[in-house]
Amino acid sequence: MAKNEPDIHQQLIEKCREGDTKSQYRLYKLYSKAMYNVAIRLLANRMDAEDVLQEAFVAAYRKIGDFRGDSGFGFWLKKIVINHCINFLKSKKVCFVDLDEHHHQIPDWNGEDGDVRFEPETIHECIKSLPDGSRVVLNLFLLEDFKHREIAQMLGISESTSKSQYQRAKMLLHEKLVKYEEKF
Amino acid sequence: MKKNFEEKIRSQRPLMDIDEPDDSLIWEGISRDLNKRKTLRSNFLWKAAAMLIFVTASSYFVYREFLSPRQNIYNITLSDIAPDYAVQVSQFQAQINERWNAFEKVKPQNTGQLKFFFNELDQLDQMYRQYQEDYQQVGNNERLIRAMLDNYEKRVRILDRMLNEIQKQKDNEERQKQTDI
Repeated sequence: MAKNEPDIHQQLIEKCREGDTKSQYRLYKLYSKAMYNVAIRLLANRMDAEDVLQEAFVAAYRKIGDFRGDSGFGFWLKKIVINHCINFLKSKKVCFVDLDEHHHQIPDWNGEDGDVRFEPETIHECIKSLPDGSRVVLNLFLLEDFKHREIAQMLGISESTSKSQYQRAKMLLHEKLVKYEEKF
Repeated sequence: MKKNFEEKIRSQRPLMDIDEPDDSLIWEGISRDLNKRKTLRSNFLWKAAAMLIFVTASSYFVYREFLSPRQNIYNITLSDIAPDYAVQVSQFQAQINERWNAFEKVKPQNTGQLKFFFNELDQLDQMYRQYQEDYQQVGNNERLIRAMLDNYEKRVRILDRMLNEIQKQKDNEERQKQTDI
């Protein structure tokens, strides 16, 4: 079964290249949930995430001819979704550089926090509640494995700002998670 | 070995896709956008067909705005069926009314592009009527109540999307005007 999966994907992609609507829908269903969650964690708004997902899938189908299969289709699609999310945030004039003096002085926390375990649902919700700038950087660095250099380029900020934002986001997220765990 | 905070979060990453997208709504939009492109590519006959759709949509809009009892369906409330949900229902109704009032203020002359939203609202109306019929047959039922509340919520979201679409169109027109100047 697993062996056949790439073939099925490849067949669907080929059909999508020909503009076959059924295959486009099947491919959408395969990836919609994962992509939606990437989008909603970046945008923290259900309606915005749905709008962006729609635009990203349309863009992906239009340029599916450019997909060469060097990386997996999911990876290729996720990059499109992330780019659309960032463009959306830029169009909303979201500031990715909202650090004041105080935030720049955040010490580099080594991340030690004992044996506490956090539930995936809680992490997901707490990430969505972070402030815009730091939320985006945390998502890109921690969950989507981008380098600070790449994030800086994508968001139009300096590499050091990306690092500070990440440091801030990490501490805020930890605080939120600990508070949540204490509460429940 | 103890994991540090980053490792803990990363290890949970595969389990973090919690939210469920509204697939029918999103796919409808994707499908509409992809078809729009096909339409742009096509020939004169398609343009004529588009004109026909526009005329039909306009007539349909007039019908809906002035003749259809669509907004009244929500006056037969879920509160009658499940009084415990009265507060939630009245909040949804207030939100729906607020959106319709906002729509009245920004309603564009050409409503052809909003046809998709009207169709969605129509489907919700039909579903709501179906729920009411089901209630007559099966009586009070938790799943039915949930479905009716969900119906209200979807209606609010569609109205929000429609208002958002109108605003986008206006912004585009404004930008176009600025470019022309």
